[in-house]
Amino acid sequence: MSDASRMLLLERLVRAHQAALRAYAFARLGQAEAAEDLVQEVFLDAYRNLDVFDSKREALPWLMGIARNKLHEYWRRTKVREGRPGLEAVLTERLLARDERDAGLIEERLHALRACLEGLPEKARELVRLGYREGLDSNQMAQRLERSAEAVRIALHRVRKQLRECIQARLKERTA
Amino acid sequence: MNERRAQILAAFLDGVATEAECGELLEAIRHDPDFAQAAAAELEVHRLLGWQERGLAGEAETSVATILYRVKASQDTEAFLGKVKEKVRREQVRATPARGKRRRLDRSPRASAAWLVPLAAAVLAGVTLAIAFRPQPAREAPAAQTGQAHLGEIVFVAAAQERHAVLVRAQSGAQVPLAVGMAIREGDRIETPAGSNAAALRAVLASARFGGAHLDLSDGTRVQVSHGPAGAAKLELLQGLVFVNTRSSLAIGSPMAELSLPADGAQFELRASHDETRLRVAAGVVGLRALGSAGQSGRAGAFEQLTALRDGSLAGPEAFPAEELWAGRSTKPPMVAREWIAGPWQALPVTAGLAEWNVLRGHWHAENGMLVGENPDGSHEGRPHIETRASYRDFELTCEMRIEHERYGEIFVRGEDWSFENLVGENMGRWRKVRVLAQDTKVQCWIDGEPAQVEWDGSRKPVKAGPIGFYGRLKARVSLRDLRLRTFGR
Repeated sequence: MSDASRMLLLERLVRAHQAALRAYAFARLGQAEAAEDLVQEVFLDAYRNLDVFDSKREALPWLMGIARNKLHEYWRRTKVREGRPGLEAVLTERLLARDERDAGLIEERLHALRACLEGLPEKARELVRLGYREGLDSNQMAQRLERSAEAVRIALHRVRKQLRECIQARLKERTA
Repeated sequence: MNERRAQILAAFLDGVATEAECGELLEAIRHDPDFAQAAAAELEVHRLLGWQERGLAGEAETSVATILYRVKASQDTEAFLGKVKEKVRREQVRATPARGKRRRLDRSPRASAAWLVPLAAAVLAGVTLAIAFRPQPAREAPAAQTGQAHLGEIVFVAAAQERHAVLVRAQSGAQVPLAVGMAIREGDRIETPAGSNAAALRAVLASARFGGAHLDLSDGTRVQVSHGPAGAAKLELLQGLVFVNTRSSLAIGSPMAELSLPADGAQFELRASHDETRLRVAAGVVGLRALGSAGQSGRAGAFEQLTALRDGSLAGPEAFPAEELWAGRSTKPPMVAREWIAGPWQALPVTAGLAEWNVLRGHWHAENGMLVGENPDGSHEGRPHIETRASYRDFELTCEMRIEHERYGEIFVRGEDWSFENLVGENMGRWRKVRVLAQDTKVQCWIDGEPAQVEWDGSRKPVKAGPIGFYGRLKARVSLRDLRLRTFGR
């Protein structure tokens, strides 16, 4: 393959799959910039290995596999740097272990999440808006809502639980 | 999930859980698989909500461009290293003595020569982007003899911990220094030796915490990458000159000043010396806060300069010509063409005294915010012609223009190096929308959305900044309104 056609193929892959990969990387890192960085590295690796990539195979699972390896490596390094396994690393590694079975579901999850958000009661939706869209912490939200910070955190936990169950139900529905 | 665990998990996701509380959850995760699964799933929902609500998916185009840029930059690097590898191989063959045993390469006391063996070793080992090696201690140095002359001279090394970017120049007369991109990480300290022939290192910051910023470091520059605020990385210019081109905000400063960048990026030059830090902005609006007693802060826009002085005071902003910034750079053109970055739109003021304008011919005045030029007696000498006092090189101009009494008008760009003629034709007396776009040698004009033919004076003189002029033939009455302009840098 010539350099030009390799680049062309890569560009096609980037355009087709960057959205899923970025969402996935963010869902396993929680930081936008680290996620962007990781996705760039995934495509760098992909570019170097385009020749071994079997074009008849589906590209997304291949790219997701590269991403997953990099994510494992990221959290392994984080643990080494911090000298002990942190809560975020431990929880994320559980998610990564699950991904071995059903990676690539990220877009379905996001799709389900959007639908579930629409079904939320107005008060819960408001909590999500303040906490995630406006990026307020629980103290700021507590002031705004005239509640205690602790109550706000528990309320957010309940919303997340509700969303988690809703997403699971929707995914099950689809696979059934 | 019991109440206590739910509380701690919620506090953890809010970033306020204590270490002891986190330990409690870790313990629970170890012993309670159901809780572990629920907690992991909640963390995922938490992050997906962040992704969804912060609209992060929406930055697709930028992301595609950045990814492709990085792949292309790495390609350039690999192509270059391929050349170095080839050269080193060839020269090593020549330096190998006939008895077939490879002779050790010389290390001269010169700093450059100390890099030769590791370079050859690293290159031959096929290490590409980041060349990992440490210069060996001098005990290995044998007497002066052999291969160094063939290998040529290493003119530039940027070292960051164990990774080095290397430039090689053959003594056989290949005079062009070659640049290697280098990934920079937190904790790196990068130096470009003063007096090195290689002009600059073009570094593509691997850490996306720098938003994929591109940096050019001039000779004799030292930067330090450290932990910045809120866990982000921060680049500190200790001494020298850095050109920064970034599409997003990044933490950057010097011992004397802190910068604040717009979220959508900027292009600027930052120069630090022992008694001042100078910021020159080519695109975007960048803030500079002088550290020290006064702690003043100011904002420099496109082609403006701010200087933070040692006593904590701030000088500027003062304007400077666009070309000065890029002429000052010692680097060769970047490996990848840079995109134009537009400054903010600004109105070209039309005030009673026409302070911003230079009347060349005719009678000009301001009238309800319009700029009007007339030639009551219709003489050749009195034909209306006006130009901006300021000079512009790369810019976009929009305005409405009307020419009455004549069928001929012109717009001049960069003095009279480029012009657009025959702007009237059958449209005498009608307001027409004008758009002029000048970027390097590409100068275009649209009238009411239709491209106008460009005249170039045909000389090969370099593109330089100059005023923008408007002209009408003989007894023409030229009216201009809603003049708006933005400049470009890159």
